[in-house]
Amino acid sequence: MKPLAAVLARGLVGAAFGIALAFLLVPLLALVLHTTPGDLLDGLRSPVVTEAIRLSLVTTVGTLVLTVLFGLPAAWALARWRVPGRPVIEAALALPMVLPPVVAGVALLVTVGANGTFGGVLRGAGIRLTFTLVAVVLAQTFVSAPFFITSARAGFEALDSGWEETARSLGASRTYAFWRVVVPLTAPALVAGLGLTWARALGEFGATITFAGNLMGVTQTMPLAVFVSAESDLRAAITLAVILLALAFAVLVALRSVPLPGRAAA
Amino acid sequence: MRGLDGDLTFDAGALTLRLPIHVPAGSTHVLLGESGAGKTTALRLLAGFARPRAGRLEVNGRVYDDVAAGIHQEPEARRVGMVFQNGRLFPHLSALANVVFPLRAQGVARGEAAERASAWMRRLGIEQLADRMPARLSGGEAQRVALARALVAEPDLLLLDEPMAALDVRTREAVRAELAGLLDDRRRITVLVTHDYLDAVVFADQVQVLEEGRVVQEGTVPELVERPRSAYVAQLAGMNVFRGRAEMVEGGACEVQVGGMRLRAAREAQGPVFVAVAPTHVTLHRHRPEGSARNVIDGVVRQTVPLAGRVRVTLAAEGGTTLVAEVTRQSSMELDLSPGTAVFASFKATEIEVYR
Repeated sequence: MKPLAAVLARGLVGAAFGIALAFLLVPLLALVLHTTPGDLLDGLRSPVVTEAIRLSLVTTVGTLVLTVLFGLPAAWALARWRVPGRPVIEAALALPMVLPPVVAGVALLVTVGANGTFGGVLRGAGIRLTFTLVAVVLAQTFVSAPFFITSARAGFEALDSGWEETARSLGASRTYAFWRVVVPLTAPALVAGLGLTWARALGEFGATITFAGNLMGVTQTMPLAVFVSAESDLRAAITLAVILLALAFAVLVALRSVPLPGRAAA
Repeated sequence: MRGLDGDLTFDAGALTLRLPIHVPAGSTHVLLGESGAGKTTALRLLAGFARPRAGRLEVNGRVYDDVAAGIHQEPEARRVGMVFQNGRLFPHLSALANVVFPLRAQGVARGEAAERASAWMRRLGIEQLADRMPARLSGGEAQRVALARALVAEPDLLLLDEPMAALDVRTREAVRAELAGLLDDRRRITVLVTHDYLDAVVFADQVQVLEEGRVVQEGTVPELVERPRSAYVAQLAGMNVFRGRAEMVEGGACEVQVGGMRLRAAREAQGPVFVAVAPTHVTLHRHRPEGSARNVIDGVVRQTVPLAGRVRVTLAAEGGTTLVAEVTRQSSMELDLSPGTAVFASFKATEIEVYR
């Protein structure tokens, strides 16, 4: 035993841990300390702030709906089917998580933007996406859905396929077995994935401003409003920033503490 | 036609399962075999989880599989109830909700489903467990709930996959006795898969012994025990069984060549045969015994296992065979048997069973 070396090692690890914690938390703390409850209430009266909050809630909920609608079957197929070229597909699904969001925005522009690949088709059908609320949802979904798909797929893969068989041996159709057995038993992974997707969508900036633009009340979500206000109305910017912070924190805490059926069973 | 009638072939990797199976309504059919013999695969075929390569399966007049006609019914379309080795109760549902599950899955209204489920739980004496979560059930309780869940929708075919295997010995006896009473339903067809000989003894009207995907023997338990056709059944039945070649000798007897041994049997036989000797018919001696009608084999004691009033002695015998003898505790003491002791084993020619 070398007690001195052990103490030293412990001290070093502790110091590194402290620095990491401080680096991550002090700026957030400064943000909170920079405001007072009065400032917050004043900020909440500004239409820029209220519109941004409303828009963020509407679009992120839309993103969640879209993500579950298409992401749940996708995750299931990836987990249970023999998909040819799986590594390529998986890498492609992870791309939006890795790319700079601005690139995602540009990619959407050249696809469904006015001059994009399908722009003509959409224009012919009388549909314009850019500078609309739908564009915001598309941008958010593009960058955040992979979080849900990845998490759900891992959950499905970890679930013993014997549970579906048990259900089907008792007369349940595949669909009934999926909703009544598979989904409840993978709820922790699904909820975690939804939480991550929602948090990522709430913070989405680059793809949104590139593809959907920055129109107050139409496409100006909270992060965009923070960016714009930081130059003109710092109080509004800080109010929005603190609200974003509180929301994200609440979601993360909730994800770590909500009792879920699958957890109780394990 | 009432009952189950099938002949299925299935390729499971290196193993090809060939299962001709006939079970009259109201009877219990046991598939007996060691792990890897294809028992579970057989059950999965009957349940519809596996698609046979060839063959046909019909239950109470409904065709579940007919490869030639391109028919394969999915598991949920078959009137089947299944109990798995470890119960497989849904962990997120209470005991009652588990029993309700099959009824709701088939579209029975909520209230009626709850009533029917409760009735089955009462019938199995587990109504007090209704609100319990599976994690808080004992092994025996969980298996009873699983049984109620399998029976609640009144299936034509009840499939049981080693339902007793995960239980401790005492619970196993209790559940086995209960289950035996419940399976006595004149309409239902039950197929039970097990490696436990006692399950076959208690439940089986008819047994099929599976070995490497093939049915090596079929019959009632007494028939199997009398004339085992595989080392596995011989061991289960506690019989010594050898394969050999018989030659007729004068006096209505035969001599059977088994490895390096020549055994004399007091019956006529010719050609390839099985030879069976009950361990209780084998006597052990320190010196070579005299007597014309006796077979004598020399061997070395490998293991002695004390039983009630008796001792089971395993011998390494001539020609690399293994012979089991059961002697009284007294004679075991007199002979001073322990591993390594050289002995002579003898049995009468009239006590050998010879069959094809």
